[in-house]
Amino acid sequence: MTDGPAMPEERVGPETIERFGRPTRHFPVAVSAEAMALAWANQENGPAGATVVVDHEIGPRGLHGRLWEVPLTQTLALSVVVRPSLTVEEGNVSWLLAALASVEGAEAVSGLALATWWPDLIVDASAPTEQVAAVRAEVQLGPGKVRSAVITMRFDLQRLGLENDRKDDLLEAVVLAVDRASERLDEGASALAAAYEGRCALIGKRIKMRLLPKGETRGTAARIDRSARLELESPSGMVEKIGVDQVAAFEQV
Amino acid sequence: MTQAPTETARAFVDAVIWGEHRRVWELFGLEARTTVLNVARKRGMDEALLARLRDGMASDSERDGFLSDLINGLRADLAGNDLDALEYELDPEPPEPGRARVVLNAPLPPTLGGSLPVASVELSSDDGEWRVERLVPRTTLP
Repeated sequence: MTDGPAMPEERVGPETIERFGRPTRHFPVAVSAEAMALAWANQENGPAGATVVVDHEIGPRGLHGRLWEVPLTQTLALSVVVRPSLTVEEGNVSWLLAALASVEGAEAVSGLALATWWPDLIVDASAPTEQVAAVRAEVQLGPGKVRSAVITMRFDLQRLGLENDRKDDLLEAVVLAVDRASERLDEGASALAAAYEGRCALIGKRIKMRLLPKGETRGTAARIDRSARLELESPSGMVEKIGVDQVAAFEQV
Repeated sequence: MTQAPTETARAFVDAVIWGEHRRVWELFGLEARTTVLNVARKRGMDEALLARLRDGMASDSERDGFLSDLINGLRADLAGNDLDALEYELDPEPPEPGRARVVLNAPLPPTLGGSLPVASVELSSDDGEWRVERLVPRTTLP
């Protein structure tokens, strides 16, 4: 005779601790920080600011699935849940938010002069080919508005001149920069786009861009709009707006 | 003639790929402008706007919108080719007197050698200047 049906074991979730004024989860190994943060945001209604740090990402993918090739031992990878008040059209501003927070946080800790490089890179301001970080944003849409976004940021500690023991300093600086950038977003997507544009080393450069699914365009990078689109201007003033999802690759000419 | 047909064709392709929409319109001859406006009419553009575009009386935004669409169409005709490597060759047999045809050749990989025609530009002589009348992409026959 049994005592009754066996009770299912209580499901034990990942440990959440309070760090830098926000709930944080740390995983030694995971598919990616983004995957863990998305699960937190969507299945457990993770709050704005919820942060995931992963030491070893199995699939560290960026824009269009591009692989982050920096060795894991010299990488800081984190994702943050944000819940901005944005319309569907403004959703991709989350990419700008991630980049702005990354450039400000990394600059504060490394002391280097850094810049953004639309749409997803952070570079050495004096040598834009030197990539020091990359960002990605995954936007979850609700009816007519953005429900949440998960921004992912990966830093090359060696290129930033940081030892591994400075990871926590960088993490703190970046998450606080995410808070500041989110506050700026409260003033509207245009305000954040303007702040991003002010840090973007691509502005003013003549570029040749391959587009998705096909095609090519050229022009001078002139502005970033409130939908995070790059405005390419021709010598005769024709303006083309290129979305984050449209860009396959580009080169300076 | 102040400029060879090959140079006008090159200037035209450069203007298309760099999005110099007003330059593209300037380089068009009367026949090309008429053809483009007729296509716009068939696609539903209203007569008043057509007349303003034809007479150069359209507002900046009207003209820029129209020419942006035109540029995108011309770019689609040239898509898939390395536009920086194109070679411009004058067809020795003009289609008719007062006209010229420039063939746009894309070089093949060194192992194959030679080049492949990807498009041609037909031009007409207008008051001592060459004007572009047609861009004809060379595509594979069905």
